[in-house]
Amino acid sequence: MLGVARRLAVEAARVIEAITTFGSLGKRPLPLLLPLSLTLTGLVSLTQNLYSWAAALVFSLVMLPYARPRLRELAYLTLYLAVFAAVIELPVLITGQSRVAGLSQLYRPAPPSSWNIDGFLFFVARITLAPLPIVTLVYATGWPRVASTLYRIKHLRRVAGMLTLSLLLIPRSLRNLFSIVAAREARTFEEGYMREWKLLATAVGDFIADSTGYSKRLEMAIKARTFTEYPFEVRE
Amino acid sequence: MKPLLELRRVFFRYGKRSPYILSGVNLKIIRGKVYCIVGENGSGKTTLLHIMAGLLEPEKGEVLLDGKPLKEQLPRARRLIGILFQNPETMLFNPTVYDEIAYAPRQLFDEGETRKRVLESARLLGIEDLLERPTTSLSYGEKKVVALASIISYDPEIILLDEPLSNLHPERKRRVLNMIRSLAAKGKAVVITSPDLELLDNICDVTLTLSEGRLKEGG
Repeated sequence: MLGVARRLAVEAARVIEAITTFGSLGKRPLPLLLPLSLTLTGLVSLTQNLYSWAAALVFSLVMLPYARPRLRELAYLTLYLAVFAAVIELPVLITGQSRVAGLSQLYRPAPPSSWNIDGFLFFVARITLAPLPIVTLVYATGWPRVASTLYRIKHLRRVAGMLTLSLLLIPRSLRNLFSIVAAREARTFEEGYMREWKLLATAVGDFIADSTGYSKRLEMAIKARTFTEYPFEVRE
Repeated sequence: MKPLLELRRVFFRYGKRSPYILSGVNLKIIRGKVYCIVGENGSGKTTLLHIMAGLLEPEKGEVLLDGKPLKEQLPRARRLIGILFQNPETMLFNPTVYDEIAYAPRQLFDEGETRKRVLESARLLGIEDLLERPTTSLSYGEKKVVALASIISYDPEIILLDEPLSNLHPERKRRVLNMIRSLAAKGKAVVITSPDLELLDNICDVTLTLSEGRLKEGG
């Protein structure tokens, strides 16, 4: 149990950290590619038009060579999305009663069948494909370049700042949790699932204390260089 | 000369039942001087700097900026005070080094002036080559210098540096020391903490020792 949890957390941290470094695609085409990728993501999420699906796929495939050093992380991310979508859609597969194909289709029942395989696959494909254009673009160029571009737009600076903070904090927190667990593990000599459960459960307290301390220090650092009431506020 | 920042009988402790970290600290900070505060680990140096920056509030006593209570002038007064944290890891929260240094100037100036200030600060500290790098990819020493550049870029009047020379290689250390000297020459007040006076290489105009919650003159 602990091994699987650790593996998942480390992979999740790696996937996010891969975004926070630079990709091989430069900053220059971003003002064009960023809105395009967001439009494609929106189209796949909200319509059933296969052309938009194909366009999203083509866009993502074009971005792939630029994301080459991080293809493994990108594959993991896509796999996570597919697995989570499949888990959520599992009841539909079994009951075959409804098909949640997207926001526009939310309340439209599909023709009943004993196994709603097409509905299941449709949902999983949609959930996996919808974020791919923006995700591959971010992997191809790196979040810092995307955020830097967004920082130049006054009204997006706050959002970009908050997203950047999350991307810095999530991997740090995940790694930190398991370094706390490892420190306990080294001095615990019991065996079995009970030991693993105890290790994880007792590490949570330390984790919360450490994260609280870190967030307080970070808050101070932001406050120290913020001259207005709200961080990321922009001079008018 | 009228002090820029003044602490009057400042008491501070973390929690009602904890012992006082600072008990009756008095300090006057004057323009153009370098103040060095030495003391053992845990003596309260960092807490003192956080109080001077208005990040912590004293339990008793007053902190005055230009003769008026600092608390009443926040957050705008923060542009007059720059603080370098002991651990630079917690100071960096922007995507690239450029954005990190530009964070404060962007609140005060237009993009052209911001760029000018970022480049000037980077040049002073010899980190022009780092500007496009993500902050997550920097070494500890690089983070420390970037954090310092992010302060000098908005030209504060009081600069509080919490152990600025620790974990820096000699070349970076030399640049930081030169920068401190030039800041003082320009009339800025600089306060530096260090566990050891020897590290500070004779740049101190006033040396103070923090021990048992009290500040005494001399190293």
